[in-house]
Amino acid sequence: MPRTLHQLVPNLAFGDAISQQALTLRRLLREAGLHSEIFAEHVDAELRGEARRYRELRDAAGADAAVLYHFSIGSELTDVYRLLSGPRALVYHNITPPEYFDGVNAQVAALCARGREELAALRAHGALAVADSEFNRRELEALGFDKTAVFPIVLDPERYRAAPLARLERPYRDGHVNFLHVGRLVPNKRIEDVLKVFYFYRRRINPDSRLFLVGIDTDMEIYAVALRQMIHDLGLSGVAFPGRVTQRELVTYYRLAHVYLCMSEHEGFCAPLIEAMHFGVPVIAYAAGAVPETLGDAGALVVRKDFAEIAELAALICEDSALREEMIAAGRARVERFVPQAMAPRLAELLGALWP
Amino acid sequence: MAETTPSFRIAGEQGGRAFERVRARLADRVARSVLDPQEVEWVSAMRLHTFVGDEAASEIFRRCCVTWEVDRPARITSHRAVIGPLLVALKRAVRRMLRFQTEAQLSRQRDFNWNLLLLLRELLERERRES
Repeated sequence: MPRTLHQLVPNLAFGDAISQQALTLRRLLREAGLHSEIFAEHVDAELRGEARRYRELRDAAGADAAVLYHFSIGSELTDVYRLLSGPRALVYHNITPPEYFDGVNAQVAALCARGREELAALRAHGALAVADSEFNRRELEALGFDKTAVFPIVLDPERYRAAPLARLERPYRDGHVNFLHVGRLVPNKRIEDVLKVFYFYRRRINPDSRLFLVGIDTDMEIYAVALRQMIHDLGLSGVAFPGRVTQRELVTYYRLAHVYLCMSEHEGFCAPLIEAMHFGVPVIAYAAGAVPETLGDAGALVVRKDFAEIAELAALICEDSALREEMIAAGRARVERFVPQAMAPRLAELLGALWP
Repeated sequence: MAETTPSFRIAGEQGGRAFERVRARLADRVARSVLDPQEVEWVSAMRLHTFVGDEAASEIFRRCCVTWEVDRPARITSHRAVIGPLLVALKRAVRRMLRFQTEAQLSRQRDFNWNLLLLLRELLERERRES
């Protein structure tokens, strides 16, 4: 009988990096001959059928079944995980510090604060705690977790083989320079700083340009409105909010992009950087949280937010083909570290730690 | 712009020279009055208008923000397993047919909502300043 490794996630949401990691892991585990399912509290309509209700986990998991609990926010799933008796590991994706949500959404801030309390309480369980970056692992260690390991987000190239959408691509293939940011519209991502960089680029360098801010604003409506207000105050045009996109649309936006811009100040991994590099898009990213280790030497790492200077850097990357090609080649080489083949030995290590 | 230390790092032969080149291009833009240092300061100092420290106002405003964008296309779904895809296709077709009728009104409603939202924010800000 094959061994069993189930995963527990609070939300299985389309386009979310944690959900994608759970789905990719399930595929890899099944290919390795293990029995594996995902159990979730909330499941997006698009992913219905991909996960079972979390209440079914205790019946589904026998004494020998191992469970990975993907943790990033306060949730009642923590109690479910705590009461499990078999081998288990916490997969820590980091919790956004609650103060980022001050003035934006008090409920989300409270859930993040609760998450930090739950995390601190989980250290007493002595189970393995896996982080998706060294930055996250150090946080676990500082909290007193004894057994820690790093297992990064896996980039599954199969997901990005979809053909771009012609109806979306055609109007934007017009010689304009396309800036891209992918991710939920949340305050820690400092999308206002992305706007400021784009302001200098469009106003002072190249008016034939646009910025795509791909990502949803669920629960972050105040932040999204404040961003629109800033666009209005700056007198800026050329900014598009495509909102939630399908996988084919996402692929299209990456293919349309000339520069990927990330000004985030708190990231536990930052999967879109890897996606951008996979599509050959040069990355400019602010060095915060896990960003330096995810990006490595493969992009422009911003250490001080001088918006006019960053805009000028974006222009140089777009205009200088030698620099651009160098960055694209470095990005493609970097991505190879995160593909399933490269991650297989680390997955074997993880399984070895669960069943010593 | 006054800082002399590099604001970014790029590895590689070309990348190693990027900072000096960026600096030179930026200085040239300032010299040609394409870029005004005062504008750089103004944009850099700009802050987002949220409701830090005012949970009650934040919640009222958040509720208003949820629905202001009335012309944002809602997702079309069906819970029926077998005829679901057919129903979704039908709903999409009906929406497409009606779009030329509804679009103009929704767009006006959206503009009205947006302005109302700005007004509400302004009033809340004013009240906060005065209290």
